[in-house]
Amino acid sequence: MKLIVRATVLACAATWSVAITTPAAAQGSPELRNSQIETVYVEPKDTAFTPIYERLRKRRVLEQLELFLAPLRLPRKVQVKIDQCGAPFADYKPGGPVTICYEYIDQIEKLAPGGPVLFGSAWITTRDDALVGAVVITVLHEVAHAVFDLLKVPVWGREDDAADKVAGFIVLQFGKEVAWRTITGVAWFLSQASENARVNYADIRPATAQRFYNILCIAYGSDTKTFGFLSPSASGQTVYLPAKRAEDCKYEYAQIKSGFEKTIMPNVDPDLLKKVQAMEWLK
Amino acid sequence: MHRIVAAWASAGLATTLLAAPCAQAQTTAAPELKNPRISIDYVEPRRARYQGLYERLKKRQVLEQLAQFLSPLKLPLTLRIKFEECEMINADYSPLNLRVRICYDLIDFMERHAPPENAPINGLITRKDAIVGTVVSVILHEVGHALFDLLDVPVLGKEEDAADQIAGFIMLQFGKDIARTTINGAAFDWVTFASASPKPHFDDVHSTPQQRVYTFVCLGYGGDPDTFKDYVEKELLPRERAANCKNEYEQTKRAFTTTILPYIDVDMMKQVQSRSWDLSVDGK
Repeated sequence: MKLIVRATVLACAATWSVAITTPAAAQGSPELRNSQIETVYVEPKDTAFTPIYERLRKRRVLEQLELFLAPLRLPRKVQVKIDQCGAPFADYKPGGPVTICYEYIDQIEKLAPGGPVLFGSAWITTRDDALVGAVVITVLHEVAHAVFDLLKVPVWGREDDAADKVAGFIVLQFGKEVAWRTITGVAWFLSQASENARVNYADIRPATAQRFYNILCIAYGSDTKTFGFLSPSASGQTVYLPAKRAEDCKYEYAQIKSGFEKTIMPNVDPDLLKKVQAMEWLK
Repeated sequence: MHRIVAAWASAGLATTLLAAPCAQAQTTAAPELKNPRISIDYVEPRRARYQGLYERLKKRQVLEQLAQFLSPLKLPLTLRIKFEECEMINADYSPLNLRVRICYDLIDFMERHAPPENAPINGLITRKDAIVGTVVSVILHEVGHALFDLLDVPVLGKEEDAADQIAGFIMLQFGKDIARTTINGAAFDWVTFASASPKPHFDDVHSTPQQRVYTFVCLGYGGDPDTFKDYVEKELLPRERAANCKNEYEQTKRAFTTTILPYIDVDMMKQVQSRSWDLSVDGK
């Protein structure tokens, strides 16, 4: 069983985070790279994280992030690194760097399902998507903190909620498939991570369960057809989104859309955005 | 107990609800402090139990004072603010009707749960804080929703947290005494609701009552560490959170300055800030 799981993980590594199929795009045209983003894979001291480090490097996850963020105009450079933090998170400090922790990616791996997760006869998520979705949202969440800082974005509400909503909003702008795979993938991870989790009410961060509902709500609000299985009438006993929350999800999505357009979009190059949106992601 | 509360409220609650100005300052500055885009209303309650509260609030011109307090706001449409019986302990903002509603039921609930005069909670939160501070924070929270809507403010986080932040931030701009009373009151408000419904609802649009306590206290400590240091000393605000409160306050200040301040008449705001607003129980 252990061997099977390991084999699955290795197989999945090939799909980690925003892999691009288009050969030209994979090579990376010079203009499609954000020169203000410097990325680093820091070799972990703990050898337990070495396989993750090697897989991420091999798959060029951070290089793809530079490509994905090409349309974003930043006033100065910021470093994005993957590092061993001694904890699942490393708080972003003004000026950077943005740090994604091996510890957190390790949690994502450990909580990913062994195979497809079914809802009735249809699948909701797969092991691959649970890995990819959670990693993509984690990376975009951490980058969002830097964007708020560098662009002096006014942030009302908890900054971590804002970072989640911005990350969720972004993945919803790349077609139904990307939206479905990332949202259901990260939802799986957050759902598993929140089970039996001790909640620290004094924490600056929201509870993991709250993150789960926040992200699902904007996804449902963005497209009640694609994410219709989340609705109280469809989800039946599972109740992904209780009726009281679901009824306002269209408003919540409209609010993050409007907020994004007012605060971040003025710093996005529309032509480059179209190019990035036209690429095939997560293939 | 009820009689004591009623007598106390009769003496001072309405006077102190939302920053009653001192008599002297009021006579000189009051005429200029009007906001034509704010209309107020005291809706007569159906139930007799709220009649006294209704009369007191009306007599003491609580909403008139609120309208003065909000006079620097440049609103594109008229906002209605009313006290009303709701048959639930609540306050809300209706974007459809452009109105803020504070329920008599909520004020009555807080009066009944406020600590006795000489037994402040944790040696910190007095009876006056519990009632006056709660009402001020609740009104400003709902006005916050109205501002986000009317001014089309970008809200990237949860709007309910944002409304707490805007209320807390405003409460900290009128000196230490008002900051202390109102932040204490907001903390009491959410401690009370946390006790009343201990099961957290993580699926709710609101943060949990427990989390909302820390939102207000952290803003207070971040904006004025000296005034709120006893919360940290008594470990009511954990040091781990306290360490970041200055950043949280600065984040809120930046959001306020960027998104709300452009809609504020700065000269009128200075008048409002320079007034000697009085939140004492007896209004003296």
